[in-house]
Amino acid sequence: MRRFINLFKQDTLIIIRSGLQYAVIFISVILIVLINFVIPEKLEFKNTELFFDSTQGKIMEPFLLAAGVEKDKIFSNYDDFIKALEEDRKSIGIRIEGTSADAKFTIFSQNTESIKNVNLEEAALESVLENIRGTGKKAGYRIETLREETSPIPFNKNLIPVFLTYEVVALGFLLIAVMIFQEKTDGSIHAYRVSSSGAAIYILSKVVIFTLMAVLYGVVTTVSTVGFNIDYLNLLLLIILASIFMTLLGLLVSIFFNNLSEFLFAAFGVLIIMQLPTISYMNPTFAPGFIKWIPMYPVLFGFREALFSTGKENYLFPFLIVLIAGIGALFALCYFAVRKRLMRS
Amino acid sequence: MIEVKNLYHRYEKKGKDAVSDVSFSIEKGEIFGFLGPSGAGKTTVQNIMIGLLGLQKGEVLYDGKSIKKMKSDFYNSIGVCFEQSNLYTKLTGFENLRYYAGLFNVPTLDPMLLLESVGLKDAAHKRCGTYSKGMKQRLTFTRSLINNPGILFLDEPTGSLDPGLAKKIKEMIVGLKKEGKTIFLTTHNMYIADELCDRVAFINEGEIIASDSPRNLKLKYGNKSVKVEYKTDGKLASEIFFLEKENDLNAFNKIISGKTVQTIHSQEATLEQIFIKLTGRELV
Repeated sequence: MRRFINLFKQDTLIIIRSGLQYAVIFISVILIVLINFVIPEKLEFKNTELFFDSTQGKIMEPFLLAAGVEKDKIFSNYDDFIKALEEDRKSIGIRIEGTSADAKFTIFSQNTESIKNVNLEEAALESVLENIRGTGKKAGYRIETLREETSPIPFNKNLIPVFLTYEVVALGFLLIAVMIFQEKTDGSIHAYRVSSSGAAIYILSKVVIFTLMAVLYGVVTTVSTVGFNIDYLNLLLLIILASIFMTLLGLLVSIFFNNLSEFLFAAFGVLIIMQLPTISYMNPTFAPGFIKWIPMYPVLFGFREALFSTGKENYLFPFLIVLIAGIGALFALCYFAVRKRLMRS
Repeated sequence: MIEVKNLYHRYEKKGKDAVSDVSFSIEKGEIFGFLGPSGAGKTTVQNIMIGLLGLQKGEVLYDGKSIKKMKSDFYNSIGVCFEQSNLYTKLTGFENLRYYAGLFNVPTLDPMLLLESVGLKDAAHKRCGTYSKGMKQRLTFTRSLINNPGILFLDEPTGSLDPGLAKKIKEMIVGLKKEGKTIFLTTHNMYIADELCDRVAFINEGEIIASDSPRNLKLKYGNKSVKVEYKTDGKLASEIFFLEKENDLNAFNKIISGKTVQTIHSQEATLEQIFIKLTGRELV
């Protein structure tokens, strides 16, 4: 224990002298500013709707005004309508012709709208038309919720699990490599090898430092963005275990490379694979089996559950057990690799 | 006692052995010099002896116990001064020693006293990334002493030092021997070996070609010579003659009888001359 504390103090001093803490503080501030002030709570890509009412007697205008359409968005002259559409590239035009009994709509698309938006527009117009005709039907369904209703997660806050997974947890993956290559350059690792402290202490010291940095980084970022009313116990457990896992992975990969630039090629490969679960996170309907096997998948969704609980009980427990087993296996591999490769000439 | 028996080592993707059938022994309290030019296999043998390289073939025994069976506590009893100054450049000289001391399970020496002993007290709190090559070498030397080891492996301990500092380190090595420490000194500097070592082994291209005390090597392989300084055409000239050779003896007699001799000194062959005689290779 005395030797571990000694090495831990030494490694901490080296990290501080290397200025790695400033990089972490800088990124943390950037994340907090992004989440709180830059990224909006809602992402809306709504087109401006411009109307040209060419029905006889302009019968649609009162309905449109009643539906909340602003007067200046309703045109009575076709040329003005087209000119306004051409000037505003985000606009979508709707020409209404015929009579109330036989009204026809023409949608003028800029060809930049998503097909989803155009279809929504079509459905909305059809609904308006049915209301005018008095043929609208009542919904033939109702919704029952199994759990307590949760409020929607704001878009900016929904990104916090992504930042926690790929900034906070992945911190150790890169920083341990920086430290290993510094020691390789200095040759100090050989001096360590001929002391009576072994590979286990060497690994543990570095893992503990980067895990502590991840915990501080994660807690500061979380408190500054979502406050205190979340499941901090599970959040901390997840940060600690996932950070240990990623730090050990970084150590294992870095052992097989001679310098940081060689390592970065492999590191980017590993990080890209680890980031694939973000696709499923942003588009939940896309969740093929192989993505669920990537360790960062449950970490990402675990963070969301800890931050914005949906009431799922014991959601994290099975995964935490798997993560602990993974850490055990990685530690054994690291121990073997450090002894056989890193500490040998 | 340290015994190295029939040691072989071959690096990956190399066609020949870096070390081949190397055997020697070192008595307790002895300074054993391991001499050879760069690339001869000196550091490979040392690295096998301290466990930095795996044992492929042969045996290294410490008081009869194999290096393969040594646990981490073995490192409490040895000190290694590497040729490359492998220090933590972000730490000060004092911190390098203090934290290194904390890695051992035995009582350690006072870092500041050690720094003082090699003239680094004033630079103790400067980051060693700013040290000169010589300062780094002295710090690396003191680090090898921090756990007060019984066995020392010193790889070119005076390599980057000016004569004054080299003398100080040599005096310290002699002092360590007097304390009863066993010292394995790896060098290509034959003068230091001659001055310090009880016994030496010459290694060339991975093989030991001779091993004995410097005196016995000189008696066995060295030819006595005479250095003469004389005046010829108003200028001072100097020549070395090996009197066991007939041609040299005749030339020597000719100068003695026909020239104005200024000085005349008999001299022993140096270890370097013996090494060249045995290998045809210089110690660079």
